[in-house]
This record gives sequence, structure tokens and C-alpha cells, in this order.
Amino acid sequence: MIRSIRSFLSNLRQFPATLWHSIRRRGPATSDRARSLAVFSNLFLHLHPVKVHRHTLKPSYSLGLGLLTTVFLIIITVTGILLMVYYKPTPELAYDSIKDIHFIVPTGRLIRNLHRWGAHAMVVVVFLHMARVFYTASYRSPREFNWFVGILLLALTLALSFTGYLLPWDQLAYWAITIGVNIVSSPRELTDALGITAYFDPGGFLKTLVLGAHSVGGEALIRFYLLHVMVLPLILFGLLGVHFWRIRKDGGLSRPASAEIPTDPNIFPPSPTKTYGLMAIVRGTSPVVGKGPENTVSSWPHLFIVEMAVFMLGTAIILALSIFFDAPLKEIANPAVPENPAKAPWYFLGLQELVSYSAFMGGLGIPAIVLAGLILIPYLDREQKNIGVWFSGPVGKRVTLWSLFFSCLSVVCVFAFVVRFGWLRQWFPNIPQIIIIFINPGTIYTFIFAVWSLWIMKRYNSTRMGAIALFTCFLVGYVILTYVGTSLRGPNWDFYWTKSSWPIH
Amino acid sequence: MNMKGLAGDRPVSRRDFLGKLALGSFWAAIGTAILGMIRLPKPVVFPEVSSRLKLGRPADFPPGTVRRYREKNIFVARDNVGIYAISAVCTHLGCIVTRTAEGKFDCPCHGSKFDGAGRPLAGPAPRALDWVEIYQAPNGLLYADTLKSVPLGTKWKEPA
Repeated sequence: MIRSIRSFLSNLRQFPATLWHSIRRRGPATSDRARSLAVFSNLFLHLHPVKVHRHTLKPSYSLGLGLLTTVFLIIITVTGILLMVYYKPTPELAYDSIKDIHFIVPTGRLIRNLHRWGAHAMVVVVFLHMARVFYTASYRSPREFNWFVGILLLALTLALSFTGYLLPWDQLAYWAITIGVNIVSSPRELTDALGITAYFDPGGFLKTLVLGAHSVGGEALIRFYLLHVMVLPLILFGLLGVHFWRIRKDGGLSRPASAEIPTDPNIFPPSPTKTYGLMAIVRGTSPVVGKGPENTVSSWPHLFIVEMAVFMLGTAIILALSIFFDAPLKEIANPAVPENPAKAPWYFLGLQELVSYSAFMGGLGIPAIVLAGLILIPYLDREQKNIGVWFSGPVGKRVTLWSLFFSCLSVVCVFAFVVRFGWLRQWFPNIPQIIIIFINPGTIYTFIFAVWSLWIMKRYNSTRMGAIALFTCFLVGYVILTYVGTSLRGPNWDFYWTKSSWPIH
Repeated sequence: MNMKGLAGDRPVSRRDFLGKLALGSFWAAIGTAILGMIRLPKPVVFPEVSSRLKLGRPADFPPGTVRRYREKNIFVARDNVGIYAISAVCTHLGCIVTRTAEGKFDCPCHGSKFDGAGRPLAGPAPRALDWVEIYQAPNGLLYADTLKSVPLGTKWKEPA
């Protein structure tokens, strides 16, 4: 009797300690085994390997870009949920609710700025992450599919950005929806030119599906809201799970052969019965006490310190931007008067430049070709040399520089030609529309880049060099066209050297 | 299950055939369900305000008039032949064109240019600006219906 009371009191006293232990299920991580268990037995940490290769932790290799993307995604998710507390997705209330958030709601301005800058930063680092993976040839087998998933994540990031900047229902939002929806319905240009719209009208079908009406209004706003806060995030997080999982299953981050220490077959004799490799504790099939896989360190704490440091760095950058620069809000949507020029956010201005020659090719055709080309890269370049080496060595560095030079030159030349001499309809007023649709300067760029890449592939007898040439051209084209759309296009999408030379009207 | 038997080098056995049929019915059910779900977001009744716009009596439009109606984004004009309405919505990506001093139309978004009848002169626009139907109601007033386009050059004439 008295003993049970004493035991009860003692248990009560120890409750905080036993609760903590029941959560962690382990003692302090003082041995390698305990450090492994710390990762292995924790739902939130078990995404990580228990051992991580030293090379993976080198900042000069991964540049922390994938992690940084995740950090920005976390910031956007948290701030996005907070913004949903006040945001109202109807044409009458949306604009005012954004104004409330910005000017009245406590910390509303900061949260909105964080959401906006986090989104912009995510677009930047997603591109940089892709470039890092490409130039270190990390898309190679067995990582081809993860590259594929990465491209889908890039497309989703852009789709989330697009659906996001529509929600404030200001002038940018309204005209961006209008233009975006018309790009979606631009297959109609093609069916019109072929004279089959009456029988087969995918453009019109998509337009109705997106707008839920004949024109942009409340139905469209609620649809874009649904996409932005529910549909696209669900798909994004699903694919992100696959992306993370595949990193583990494909053997962690890629690394050069020079980072490996050859394994002694006497230490890891092959054993057909059981594998410990799945747990990533050891590399071989049977562990030998006292001999770990070479050149790895425990994730606890080495990897987690890196992750927390990148998390703090990313948050600090976004916080600084958000404190000093406010997210813009234009005038309330006015269906009668578009802004002049009506410009999308910077990451779509390259596309807007292409769209200004023909909607179908510039808005759907060329982006589709680019996405397909990016997805195909690891399936067409299946060489296995120099994985994990920046630019695949000195030859690749040279090819990258030459491609940089070549693509700058060709993009600038074609653009200057178009600005100086105009485009097809100015020369041949009665030209069939089908030619206008397909012969876009973007088509010319795509063609030039493809020829250059094939020539490089032949010259160096290497699919990798061809891929480097093509990818470099794509990046340069994207950057230059983005610059053109941002800085060199003014009212009526005419060419101006500087914004100060825009006509006053 | 031995999937090699389905690959075609051997004739499909009865069991494999039934298995294939079951698998096929599964995918057919999924496909039908997805098609059925797409029916929901594609409306059949459109929640909009009327596309009709009251313009007024024919006498309100003396020859040479050009008027812009912001609420429906159309230009209504009268020349010696009749009264006609041209949509201000650019056929490229739906921005609103402005009328220049020479009576032509310019689009601010992607630089399309149209002549006075709405035919494309430059830029990416794939076709001429829509001409919108004008009709006279029994009460004698003229209306425009922005959802009904008519061939370029169609003008409303006073009944003789």
C-alpha cells in the first residue's frame, strides 16, 4: 500500500524526464550507434541518412541551393497560411483585404513581404539549383528520374508564383489573368488558322475551365485561389516527397570518384542473406564491428548543423529584404484600361517578349519544347564519366564559355535585327497566320541553339558536351530575354534603351 | 504473377485474359471518374451580367461619330453607310486597345496595331478585332451584344 503510494509519487516527480524519454526513446547521443538511432527512430529526422558523406557537406559543391529552396518553401508556406486568415477571394473584397493586411493587420505588412520575397527568392534558387545539378552532371543514372521530378517542381514553382500574384486583384493581377488565360486558349489561333475551331476547340475548352465564365471575374479569382492554396501545393509537396526520397534511394548527393576511398573487400565481404545498406548505416551487406563506411560522418550533428545554418541564412536574407522593401500593390483592377506597358513579374518577362510575336508558340510551344528538352537531358546523355565534377572538367569549362559567348551573340543579334527591321507582318502584310504562329524569334533561338549543340556534340564526340552547350544557351537566352522584357520594353511594348526615355502620356 | 506471359510471345491464356480484363476495367473506372469530375468545373450556365448594351436611338449617332463604351469595351461608330461596333479587346491576349488620333487602334500590352476597321497591321494579333452585332429593338432603340460577333464590315442601316 504505502509502497505503491511512494512509487506513485516518485513517478510523478520523474514525469518530465520520463515524458521526454518516451518522446525521444533514447539517451544522449554519445556513441555512433546512439547518433544513428537519433536519426533513425525519429519520424521527422528519418528522412535523412544516418551517415552522410563528407563531400556532401562541402559548401562549394552543393552550394546549399536545394536546402535553401526548401527553406524558402517553408517560409512561404507558413506566411501563406497566415495571410489566409485575412484574405478574401472575391473581386469586391480581395483588394481591400490585401490593403488591410498591409496597413492595418499587426505584422501584416511584414508577413506579406516575407511571402512575396520568399516566392521571388524561391524562383531564383530553383533555377540556380537546377544549374548546379546540371553543371556537376548530377542528373546521370541513377538520378535521371529525380531530375525529371525536379523539372516538374520548377514548373510548379512558376505556376504557384503565377496563381499567387493574381490574388490581390490589382491591375497587375487582373491583366495577368487576362493575358494568362488567353495564352491558355491560344491553341485557338492554331485551330482558327486551320479552320477547325468549330469542331475541335481545346483553347476554348481550357479557357472556360480556367475562367468558369466568358470573362475574367469572381469565378476566375476563386479558381486561381483554389489552385494557389490547395491544388498546386498538394501536388508540390507530393512531388517534393518523391524528390527527397529519391535522393536517398539514388545514393545521396552525387560526388566525384575522387571523393571515394576504395573499400577493402575483406572488411565488407558480400553476404547474400541480409542487407544493412538500406538503413544507410553501412555500405556493404554485412557490417564489421569498429569499421564504418569510409569518408562518412554521422548526420547527427554534422548534417543538422549545416541545415540549421542554411535555414538561418535563408530566413535572414528574406527578413532583411522584407524589412527594407515593400511588396508592391498597384491600383485596383480596372477592366477598361490595361496598364501601359502591362508587365508580368520578372521571371515571366522573357516569355512575355516571346509572346509579343505570337501567343501560341511564345506562350505554349516554346515553353513546352524547353521543358521537354530539360526532361530529356539525362535520358539522351547517358555517359558515366566525370559525375560530380563541375563542368565535367576543363573541356566542359571551355564548352560552357564558348556557348556563353555564342548564345549571347546570337540572342543579341536576332533581337537587334527584330528591333531594327520589325517582324514578318511588317514585311508581308498578307502573310498567312500559320507562319506568324510558328516563325517566332523564339523558334529561331531554339533552332540556332539546337544546331550549335549538335555541332558541339559532333566536334567533341560527347553527348555531355552537347548537353552543356544546349543548357548554357537556354540559361543565357532566359536571362537576356528577361532583361529585355524588364528593361528594354516600354509603352506599347516598343523598344527603349532606358525607362527615362519612355514617352510621357 | 508472371507478367512475361502478357508480353505477347505466347498466346494470352484464359486466366491472363481475365486478369487483363480486370485491370482494364480498373483503369476504365478511374478514367471515367476523372472525366466525370472535369464536368463539374466546366459550367453550363454562365454567371455574368448581360452582354447587351443599350446604345440609344439611331439619331443619336450622326455620321462621323465614334464613341467608346468602357463598360463593355466596344467602339461604336457611324459612317455614311451605317452604324457599326468594334470590340476593343485585342485578339492577341485580351488587352484593351486604344484609338489613335488617326483612327487606328494600338494595343499597349504586346504592340499589336490595327487599322480603322480593326484589321491587323503589325504585331502578334492573329486576326482582326471582332465586330459586334448591332440590332434595333421593337422600341426603336439600338443595342449591341458583345458576345455575338459579326463579319468584318457588317453595319446596321436605317430601314428604308
